[in-house]
Amino acid sequence: MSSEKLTSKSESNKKKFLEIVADILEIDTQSLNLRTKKDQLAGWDSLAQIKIIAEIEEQFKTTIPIEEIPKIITLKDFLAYINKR
Amino acid sequence: MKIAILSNINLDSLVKRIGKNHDTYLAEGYGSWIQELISPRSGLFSFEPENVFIIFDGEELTKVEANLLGIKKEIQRFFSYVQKTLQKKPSVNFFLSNLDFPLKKIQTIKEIRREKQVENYWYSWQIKLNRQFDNFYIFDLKRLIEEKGREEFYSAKLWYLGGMKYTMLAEKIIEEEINYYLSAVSLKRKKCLILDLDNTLWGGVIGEDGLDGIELSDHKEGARFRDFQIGIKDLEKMGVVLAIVSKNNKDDVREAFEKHKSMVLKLNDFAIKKINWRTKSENIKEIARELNLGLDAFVLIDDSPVERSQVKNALPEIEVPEFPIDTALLSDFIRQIQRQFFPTLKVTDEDKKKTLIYQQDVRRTQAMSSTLSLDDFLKSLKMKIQFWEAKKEDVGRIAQLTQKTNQFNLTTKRYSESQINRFIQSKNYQVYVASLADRFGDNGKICVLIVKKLSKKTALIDTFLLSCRVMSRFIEDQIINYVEKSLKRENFSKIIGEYRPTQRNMPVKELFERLGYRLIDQKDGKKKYELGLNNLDQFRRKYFGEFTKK
Repeated sequence: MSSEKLTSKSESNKKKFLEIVADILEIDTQSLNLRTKKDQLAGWDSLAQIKIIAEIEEQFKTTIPIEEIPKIITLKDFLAYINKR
Repeated sequence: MKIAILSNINLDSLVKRIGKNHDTYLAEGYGSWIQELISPRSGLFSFEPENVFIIFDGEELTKVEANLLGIKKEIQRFFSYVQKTLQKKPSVNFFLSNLDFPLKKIQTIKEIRREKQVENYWYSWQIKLNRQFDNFYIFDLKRLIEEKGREEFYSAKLWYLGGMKYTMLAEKIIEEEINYYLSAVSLKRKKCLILDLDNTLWGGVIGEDGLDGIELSDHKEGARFRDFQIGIKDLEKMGVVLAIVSKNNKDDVREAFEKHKSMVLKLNDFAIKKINWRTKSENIKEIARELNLGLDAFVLIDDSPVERSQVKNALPEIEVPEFPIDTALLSDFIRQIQRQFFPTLKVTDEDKKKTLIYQQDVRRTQAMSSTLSLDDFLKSLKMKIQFWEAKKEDVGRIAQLTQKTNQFNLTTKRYSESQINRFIQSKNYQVYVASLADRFGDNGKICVLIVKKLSKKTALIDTFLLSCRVMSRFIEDQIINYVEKSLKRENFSKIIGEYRPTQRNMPVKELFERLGYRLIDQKDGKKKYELGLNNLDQFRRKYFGEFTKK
């Protein structure tokens, strides 16, 4: 029972996260997948990166320490911060 | 609307947001705000914005100076630039933010906060400019931060990462506030607030609980209704017309208003009172007729979901907000109502007298129904029409009239204050205003006529409108007569008139025909007319009352 709940929560987190990224980059969620690297996405400039970090922190009430930001390469790396809260 | 946002910090993200809904100026870099302001040929002024928002960050502004005196000198210099700009651009609205200074310096409790002293000094300058200049307004950024909290408003991380002071949430809040100010500029205000009485202006039912039984007092629980009434009275002072629609006996209601010690509102604060047992929508339809207002100008506040639903179904154009279930929130509720439906930049003299003016209208309507003929009635009014070329103090009311007038409006051109200012200053335009008084009272400024000189011989009537409250009195005859004679004296030989049909201006569809103008073109309902100024006396026009050119 509780592990099902956990899965559906991380599913909805993933969906919400992709929507945030898609909205900021102004593209379709269809063209995103978790293994995509940042530099593969058009429109992912420094401003977009800052906005995405900001939205994730605000919407998921989590913190991404400034030292760890350079370590984030793929979209999946973001999810670690979202799901670990 | 053409907007510009200037700042001493990076607000690109906010500017892009606003840019989605408005034509917004994007400055090159944010350090150049001084050049943008003081140089008349700057990118900013070439863009010709109508509204300029200057959103300042206190910390960044005063980083350079170490002591308070030095900071004050910097601020003084800044305000001298702003003053010069306000003088040079009287037709542009400037909104300057007040300062917020997060308290970062570590110091003892005894030591006075220099941050607060700087905030206060800045604000004292804003108060000066607000008094001196019509086109200067304070953008209350500090209130937004106070209400949300600095923790939610600022982000250290975003600042270090990308020079962005504000969180995404803060940007959304600022954007919403900017939109609120812009709705006030565009005069999108509802005109009339209709109020229920029982369980709305007081707790309980006056007919059953009596004067001593209703909840309304200066202190404790009853005070929540008193505070609600205070908010409503504030609205009335801003020119919002109040009306009562209540299922009650007139005597019970009169007694409550006249005798209850904690009643803030007076019966006289309401322009119209419908106190009877008929359906509310019937009463509201009557109010709309008697005040000569469209149904979309009304907001109804009523505690009863049944009544609200009845009105919503019968009259879908009326705004019927939900009433708070927890009446402790009534004071907040009336502030939200003001924000949502009655955004107001400033009050004109006419606004302040609105209630009195509408009360006079109702009396006039009643007098009319008891006279034998329309001509006799109009003669009996003893009207006094005053007509003059628009001056600076008329601009607010003129813009308001072009924005709000729908029925007696030949071309329905909506103008902002900045545009009216431009017409007044231009050699090619002549802007006229008229006021009307009669034996029932003074209606104030009720007519706008704008002439555009197309050539040395031909003039166009760009705008000709009358407040709906003074229609059907033929004052347009006297006004147009004066303008024609005046243009003839200036050696014009022809006047062109236009009628552009809308859903609401059917009443003036045949106005030019009646006034003796010749129809020269007709297409898609739009009509173009011509009047030769050589032989003016042939017309059969109607003249009632006294006409004076000031």
